[in-house]
Amino acid sequence: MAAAPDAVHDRQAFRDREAGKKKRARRARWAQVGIMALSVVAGIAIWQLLSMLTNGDLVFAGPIRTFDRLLSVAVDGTLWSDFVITATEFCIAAVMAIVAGISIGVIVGYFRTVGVLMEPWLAAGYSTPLIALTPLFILWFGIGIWSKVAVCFIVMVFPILINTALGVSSADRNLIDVMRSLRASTLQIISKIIIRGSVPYIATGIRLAVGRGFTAVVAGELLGSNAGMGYRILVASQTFDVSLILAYVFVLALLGAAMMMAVDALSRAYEARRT
Amino acid sequence: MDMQTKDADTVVEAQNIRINEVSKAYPTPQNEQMVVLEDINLEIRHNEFVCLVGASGCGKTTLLKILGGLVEPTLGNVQIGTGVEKEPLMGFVFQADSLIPWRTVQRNVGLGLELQGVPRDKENRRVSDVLEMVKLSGFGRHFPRELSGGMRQRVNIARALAMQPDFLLMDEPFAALDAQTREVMQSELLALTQRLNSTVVFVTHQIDEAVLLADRIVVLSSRPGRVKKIVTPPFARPRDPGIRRSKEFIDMVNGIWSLIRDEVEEGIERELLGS
Repeated sequence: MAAAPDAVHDRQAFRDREAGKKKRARRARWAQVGIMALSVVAGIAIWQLLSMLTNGDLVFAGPIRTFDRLLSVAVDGTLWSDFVITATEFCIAAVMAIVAGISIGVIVGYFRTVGVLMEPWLAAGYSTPLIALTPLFILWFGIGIWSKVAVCFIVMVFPILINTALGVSSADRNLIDVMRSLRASTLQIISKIIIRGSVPYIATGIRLAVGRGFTAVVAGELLGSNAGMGYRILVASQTFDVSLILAYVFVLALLGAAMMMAVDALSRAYEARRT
Repeated sequence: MDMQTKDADTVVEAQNIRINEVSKAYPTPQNEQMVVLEDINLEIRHNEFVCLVGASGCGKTTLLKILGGLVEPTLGNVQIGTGVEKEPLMGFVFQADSLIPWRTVQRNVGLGLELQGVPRDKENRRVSDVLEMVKLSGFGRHFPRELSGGMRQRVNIARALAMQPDFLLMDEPFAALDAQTREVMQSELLALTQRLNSTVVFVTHQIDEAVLLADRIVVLSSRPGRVKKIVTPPFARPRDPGIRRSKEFIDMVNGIWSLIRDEVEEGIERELLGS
């Protein structure tokens, strides 16, 4: 038997093609990063200009004063302790939401009847601005971190759950037949095909949830708390400390961007992993 | 029938597949029963290569899935051997795109062994053996999307072979390939099954493919699927693909075509009428 010529040829061609593609992609990426950096610098310049035009630190602090204030809270440790509180609330809620969202989502997606049964509740849970429940959670769980964990969790769980269920219910029937022909158990089919195949959906759900949850945790703190980044902003607004508000919002923006990048990097790393 | 012996020592007979009065009906959306297969009686002998041909909708794929245990017959049963020895292994080769996209070739081919809990190093050894059989050595770490259609079907075959199955069940494995690749794959399958002494049940809608590969061709009628005729190509083994051009070959293809031609045309008309 001779070696399949199409095979040998394809392998070399494939490698060349992939190498070229990667090089071009890297170059394009660096160009993009450059443009984005420029855009940020321009934005800060406009911010400075606006603050000079409005002429008053009371209403609108410029970048220089804002960064100055940021430095002071960073040095005296206020920023760090506020961050730890907010991050703790967010992380507890995120872990709970991911675990609950995926496991309930698998059940909802796998059993058609359960899916139909849950449909109205999921639709409501997803589209209602559940931040409105914060006052209730404060009544139930107090002014400490747990009311914020609760609101963050409830906001995060629905997108993860719904997307997981969608991924599970759209599992490839052919692959399930393949698994059955190889005598896979139901559990093996669920873990190796259904859940594994839902990973891109789950990643989308988590991505949505992280954005919404981050908003919810800060909003929750603004509505009632005794610590955290939202709490600091609330206090600053009561003392007309505009530069502190802007400094914290700036940090929140960085954190949000960092989280989105982390989620994307994680899901990319997972996809690229050679099993 | 002389095959009804219960003697476990008659190894050859113990490996036969007997299809007893198998019928399959599906409920239609209009709450009627659509009979796909009716009263199929068939015996597939050890080391035999049997092709199922027929117009689309004749239930040939359903019959294969019944053999593979993926579909339960409505009536009748499939008996393998005397029914007392351990359940035989069916190696199922599906139509195109039944590879798991997030697994490398290696992990796709090793899937069946992995499901049985075979240790990874043993799995890898077996995988490289079967990859060599289908001439894909060195492609273990590629993903299915990186391979051509012909290569993907090689992986499909390798996945079935990795289990060292007692029977190979192939569902139009070459239907999605271009004509040249298909011919190469056919002659390689011919060589491979002759070397491995495999018992093969092969579904195809291509009559020349059936005449080239099969020891016996089961021609099924359409709606409901019944055994219309069993044809035995007279060509000796080992077979050379060159027989395609012989008069005998062409006559046989034409003979089978005339058996199912009306049904194929009816099927097309039905499709055009949209029923």
